Amino acid sequence: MTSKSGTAVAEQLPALGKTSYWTRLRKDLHKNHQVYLMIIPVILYYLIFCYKPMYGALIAFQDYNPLNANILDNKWVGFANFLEFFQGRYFWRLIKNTLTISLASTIVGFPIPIIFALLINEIKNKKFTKIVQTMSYMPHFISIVIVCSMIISFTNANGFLNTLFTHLGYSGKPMLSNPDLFVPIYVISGIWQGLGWDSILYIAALSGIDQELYEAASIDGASRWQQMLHITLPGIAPTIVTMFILRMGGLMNVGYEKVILLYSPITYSSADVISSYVYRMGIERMNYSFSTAVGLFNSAINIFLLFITNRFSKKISDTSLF
Amino acid sequence: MKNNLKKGTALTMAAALALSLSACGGTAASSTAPAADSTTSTAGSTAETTGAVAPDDGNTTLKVFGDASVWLPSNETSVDASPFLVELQKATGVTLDLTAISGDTQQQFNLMIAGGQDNLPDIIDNTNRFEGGAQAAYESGYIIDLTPYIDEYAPNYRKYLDEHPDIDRLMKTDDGKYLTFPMIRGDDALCSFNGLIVRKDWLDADGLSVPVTMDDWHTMLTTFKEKNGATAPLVIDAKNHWHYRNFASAYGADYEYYVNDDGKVDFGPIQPGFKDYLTEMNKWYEEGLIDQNYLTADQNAREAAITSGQAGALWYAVGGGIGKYITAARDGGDDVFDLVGVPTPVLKEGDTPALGFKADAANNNGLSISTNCKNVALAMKFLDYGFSEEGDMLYNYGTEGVSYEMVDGKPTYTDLIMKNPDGLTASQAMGYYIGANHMNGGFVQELGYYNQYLALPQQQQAIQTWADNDGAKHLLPPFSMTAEESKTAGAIDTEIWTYVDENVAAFITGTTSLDEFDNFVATIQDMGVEDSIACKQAALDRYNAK
Repeated sequence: MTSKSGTAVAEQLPALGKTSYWTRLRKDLHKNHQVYLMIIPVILYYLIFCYKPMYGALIAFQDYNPLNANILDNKWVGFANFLEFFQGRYFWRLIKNTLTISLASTIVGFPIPIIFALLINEIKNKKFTKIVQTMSYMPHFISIVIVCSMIISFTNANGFLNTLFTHLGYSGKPMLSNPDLFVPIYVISGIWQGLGWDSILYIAALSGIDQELYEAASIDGASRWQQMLHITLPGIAPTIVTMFILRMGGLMNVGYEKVILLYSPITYSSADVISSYVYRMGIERMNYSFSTAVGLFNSAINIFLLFITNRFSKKISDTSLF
Repeated sequence: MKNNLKKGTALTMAAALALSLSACGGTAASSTAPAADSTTSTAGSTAETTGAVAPDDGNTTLKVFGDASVWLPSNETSVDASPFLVELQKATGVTLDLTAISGDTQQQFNLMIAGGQDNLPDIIDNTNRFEGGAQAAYESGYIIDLTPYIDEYAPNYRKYLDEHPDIDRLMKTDDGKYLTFPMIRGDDALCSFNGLIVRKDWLDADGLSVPVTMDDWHTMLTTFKEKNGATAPLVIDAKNHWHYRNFASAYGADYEYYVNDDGKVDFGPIQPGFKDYLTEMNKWYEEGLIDQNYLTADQNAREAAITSGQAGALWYAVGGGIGKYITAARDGGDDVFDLVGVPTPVLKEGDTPALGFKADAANNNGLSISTNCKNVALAMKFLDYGFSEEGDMLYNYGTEGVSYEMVDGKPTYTDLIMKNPDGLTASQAMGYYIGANHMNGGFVQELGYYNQYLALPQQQQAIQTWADNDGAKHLLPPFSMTAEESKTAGAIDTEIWTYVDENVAAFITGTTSLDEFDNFVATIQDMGVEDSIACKQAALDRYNAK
């Protein structure tokens, strides 16, 4: 069960332990130079595309004017942009909507790919499994614009979902014009989109479980349900926990694309989230500094949540990212 | 056990994969950060072109940033595909380097601006896309003041302004500057090109006359629904204020800032009449007279509704609406389908409609020259050409012998335009050969063009009907706000419109009870509507004093 690479690294360390850091590094560079070469593009990618642009986050503390060739020439305004956001009329509503959509997606959407993966794992007919899996990936590859057009036309006054629910007692009004229905529509369509794709990691983890454990368990008389509870679930628990930590780190991230494609003024009350607000302020109103401040605030909360969940997970399950 | 599983390769991969995703999405400040960064990377080469005309360096290329729908024939992507632009380049000795944008044009405009000064084109179209318009764009340093160059490099434009003091007044800013080359509507008839349109053949079949009062409208829409099988008798666009303004004006209200009967700027949705308007719209919506999907419907959906008989009334254009739909019906072999332009509704028969769409005879939404332009003289000459006699003919009629012939001393379009052999509509053919029906600045739109463009009698009738109202008294004139004023008003207005759009939709669809109207008004006042009104009032006072 223990991975080979893990033990190999563990065995090397004591040998290198006595010499200085630089000597060790030189030796290691010499020994594993192919590996170091391979990582260079990745490091460059992060430096160029993720870290260098972060410098631009400075404009959150400025009154930014694109005409200033040097970013440092802009007027510094301290935390004025942040205060404007915190004191704004829509601050709490944006936080509430972002959290509602995100929590609802997590609570409903997080377990479903796991359940799906477990079900797939129980099917013994390989061909059938492959067909179901492939079909479940499909929605992931449909452009979000198309998905949203489909949702809009299905839920319109004469759309097929609306007609269906009208027979079951719904009032027949366009569903996307009802603020109460926005979150369910968003979450359910999200599950439809992501179900298959999100289950890939779990299916991969499931295939890594030692089959001998199952044989041993069935000899001991464990039922399939008991096998699932005591072998399968613990087997993929680290994957589940890791995915959960990452998910919590993105709790305040609700992508703006799907929201702005689905919302309209009447559903702002439940649909307007931080990212769609940033989009409206920054791209539509050219209020660059303000929207950067809002985005920065959002990222800060996300990092905070990531650390908290990681800490928490380390305490209770001994599994953590770092 | 836990320790063993922790080393699973699947987990490591999962972590690496997911972490790389979250690192980019979660920590890069926002989508604006990379844009900001591109400014810094080009630091050092600040262009100091403002103020002095650069010597003619023999470079005759002008970079232009404008809409594909304005500059190019539909479905074309290159300047060479437009005989009009080819002629224009030949006549002015300019090579156009056009960046043609389509789709969400305001967004692409804003992204271009965010690129900083070095990325500005020489000529910017749709100058009103700057928040605060041309005045604010000038004050922030995006566009240049044309005044010092006009006498020397734009003699034709200068001459036109001297001969037309009313246009001169529209174009001059409060402190006497000229900032843009406008499209000038050469006649009043050219200004009322949008209005309410209803199905004439349905009216006739139902024995109804053209609706005048709000009651007439209610009767008409109900009849359309019951007798003509319309599922969405009135289609409206929730994003275009005019679709609300027409009906709100019957109640002495509006869905915009407007000038009230005392000549003061006021905000429509906080007027007492606005409640009556909402009550009526709510009734219409509940009765199924307004498109039930209007909040999510787009232009294609509305067009499909009107051409397929689901809708019987809408607010739209004389060319792209009446002309297009009737022509399409005739081409499809339908000889019955007919449309008529109707006046803005009133409460009592005999009242004059308070409002109606009316475009400014000229405004600062035309073409401006950016502070990054290295050859201002050339750009000025290029933009001035349309005001010369020769240029006027090219913009309005194209090339003699190709797109027009002189008949009885009047330029008359040839069959290349009016009965295009490739099956193009007149409007589409004009997109190739002339400029008047699609260009946005730098010429005078002539009545001679317009009368031929609106070939259908229904269109001629519509523009007459739509022009007959008190709109001139109530519409805000093209005044200019200072950068400071537009910043103040802009911040307030964004918040207010978010609130108004949201709540009006809720009132009309019945999600919110109209008992909440007083709270609605109080909230808008609380948001500082008075401050925004004050900014506009100051600008209006300066405009009136000019």
